Amino acid sequence: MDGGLLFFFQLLVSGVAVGCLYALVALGFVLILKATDILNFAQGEVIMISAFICYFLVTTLHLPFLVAVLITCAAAGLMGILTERLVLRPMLGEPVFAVVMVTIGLSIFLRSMTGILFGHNNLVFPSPFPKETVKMGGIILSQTQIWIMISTLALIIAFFLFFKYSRMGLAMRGTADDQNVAQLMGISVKRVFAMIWAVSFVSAAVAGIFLANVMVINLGLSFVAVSAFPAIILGGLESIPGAIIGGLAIGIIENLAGGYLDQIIGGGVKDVTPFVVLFLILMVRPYGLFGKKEIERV
Amino acid sequence: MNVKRVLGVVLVCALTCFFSSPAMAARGVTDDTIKLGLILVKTGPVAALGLPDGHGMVDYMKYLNEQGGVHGRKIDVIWEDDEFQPPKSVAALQKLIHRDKVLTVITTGGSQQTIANMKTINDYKLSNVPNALMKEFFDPYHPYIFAMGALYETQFECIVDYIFNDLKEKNPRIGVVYTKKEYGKIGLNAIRERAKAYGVDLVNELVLPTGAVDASSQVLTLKQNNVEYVITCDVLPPIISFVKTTEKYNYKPKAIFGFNWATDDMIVKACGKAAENYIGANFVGGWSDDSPGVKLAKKIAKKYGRDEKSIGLTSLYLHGIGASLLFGEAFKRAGRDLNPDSLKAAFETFRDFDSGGIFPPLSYTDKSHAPPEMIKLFKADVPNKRLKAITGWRKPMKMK
Repeated sequence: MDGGLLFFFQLLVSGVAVGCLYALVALGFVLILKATDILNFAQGEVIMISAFICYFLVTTLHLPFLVAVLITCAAAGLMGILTERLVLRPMLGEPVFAVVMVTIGLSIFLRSMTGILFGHNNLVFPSPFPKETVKMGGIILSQTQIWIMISTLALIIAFFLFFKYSRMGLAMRGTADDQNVAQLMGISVKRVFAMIWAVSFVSAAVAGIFLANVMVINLGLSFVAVSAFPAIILGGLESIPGAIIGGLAIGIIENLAGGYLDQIIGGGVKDVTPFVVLFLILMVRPYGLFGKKEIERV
Repeated sequence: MNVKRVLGVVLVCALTCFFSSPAMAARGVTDDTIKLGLILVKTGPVAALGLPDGHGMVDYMKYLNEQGGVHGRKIDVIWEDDEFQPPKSVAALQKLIHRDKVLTVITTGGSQQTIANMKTINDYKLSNVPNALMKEFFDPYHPYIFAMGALYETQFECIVDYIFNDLKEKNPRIGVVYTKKEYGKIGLNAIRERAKAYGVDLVNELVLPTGAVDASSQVLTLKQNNVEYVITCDVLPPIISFVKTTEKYNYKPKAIFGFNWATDDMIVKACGKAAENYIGANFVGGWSDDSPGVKLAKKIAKKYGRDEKSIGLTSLYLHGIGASLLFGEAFKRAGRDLNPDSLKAAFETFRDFDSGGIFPPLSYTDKSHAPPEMIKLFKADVPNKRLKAITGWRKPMKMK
């Protein structure tokens, strides 16, 4: 392959891998937002705390990585249920603004607890993936990147099947469409909400575990959630496919901008470009790529 | 109205004001204690930098107390957490002065915090060592600020000098990876200017945000442009990601350089073989240095139950020990009559003060509180998971 073309495809593929991480983070936000109209500002802290839990299980308890992942996901799911039951349910019927403020409080609480429980040092996750890279037509992929892509794809398929065919998935979709009608149909909205928080936290946990493999673990890991915001808005605030495509798009755009524009313009265009693209798309489609256009009749 | 009573109240008020004035000599000093404040981040995302530094400062003072203190006085360190936020640092300093009544503070935190506290520092004559490397702190002269670490500019000038003079490169291809934070921009400018002085333009100037998830585009760009020397200006976590990414893409520059915030054994422990060409600059010695100062620091760490893992960044622990060492020495030199003025005067008697290798020989006068403009370079020793000194203390070369 020609050098220039190889450079392009290499940026594209690594962009897809980063985009998968953004998609997982965005998915966690969108699941809760779609069903409950709440933007959970503690999502980043769930990512961070999951990374710390997995690190602790692997390094201190010496559990195999896969077991640690399963326990971390279970812990995240439980944390989601507890958050809904103890923090969010008492807020039912309160203004959305008040509920959002509660999630901000929750984020501060989780960050402080993580510091107390796991300390404040920078930690490096002992990656379970072999260091040897895989070459495909000259394009280099690390095994971590490959597993990030496989896991994201598997999770997306699992979510798709869950929402499409399982009773709970249907109940969740029904609740997201109209809570009152769902209640009239005999769906336990409270139970559905608890499950949605659990599923969302599991998605964040998977993102956290993979982020721990590519970044240094510290309390700053929670800020990755901010990078997923353009993905959520780009895809459409309440669209699950939108979150995934938005995440992938942001990852790819970031990498291509970093590879081409940063050399010419400089000054960190890589970070700004997703927001510029977002701005342009919102001018044409204010509700995002896959968001629903809301028409209010007055 | 009882005139005598009114006069009495006025007199009491006047006396209270007089004895609680900012310059009161005995503030924080009793017959057997010196109260010393410390403002440094303990919690939050930046705590990994503040904790080892603060622990070093506190541990040295504990050690000094166990040796009998200074002139019969024990040092009581009160550590306030500012969460790396200037408003919290300002509030903490007020608390330390008015409630705890400390003599002075070791530091009020980083650059922003020191700037925010500047007026209070002057009003209350708080001799302190800022945790910041800005020229503005000693040029122009600030009477109560004593700079300890070489400027970012100095560090990067030494790095560029090393490429041209030690590695004998004539026309090297140099790229810079920096963060858009203040120190990153200062570093970029310093490198650009220094390389230009040698007649070389930078090949790439790429931003790597501190919280970057991925460094692929930066690494691929540098590789595509055949950059031989990469100079990084960012803290440890993103540089660890960057170095690991170079290994992934089989990009092997002749050297990757970092400055003090990224010069710690942790980079070798975290990156392993990927860090084999890593060279870091620092104004404090290395944890594996065979110097009396570093040996003392290790002894103190062991004494208080800290191993390398629990310390975190050993370079910062060493910095903390160094800062406290300065204060301990200044207290000794100030003598029994310790007050803000005698402490400042004591600091100004330092002439080529030898810390046993923790930091370079240091001098302060009543006209200059500038830091020693010297650093050491350390290279990764992968088998021993250490950074090993490859130079002695050195200054930037004088350019024609």
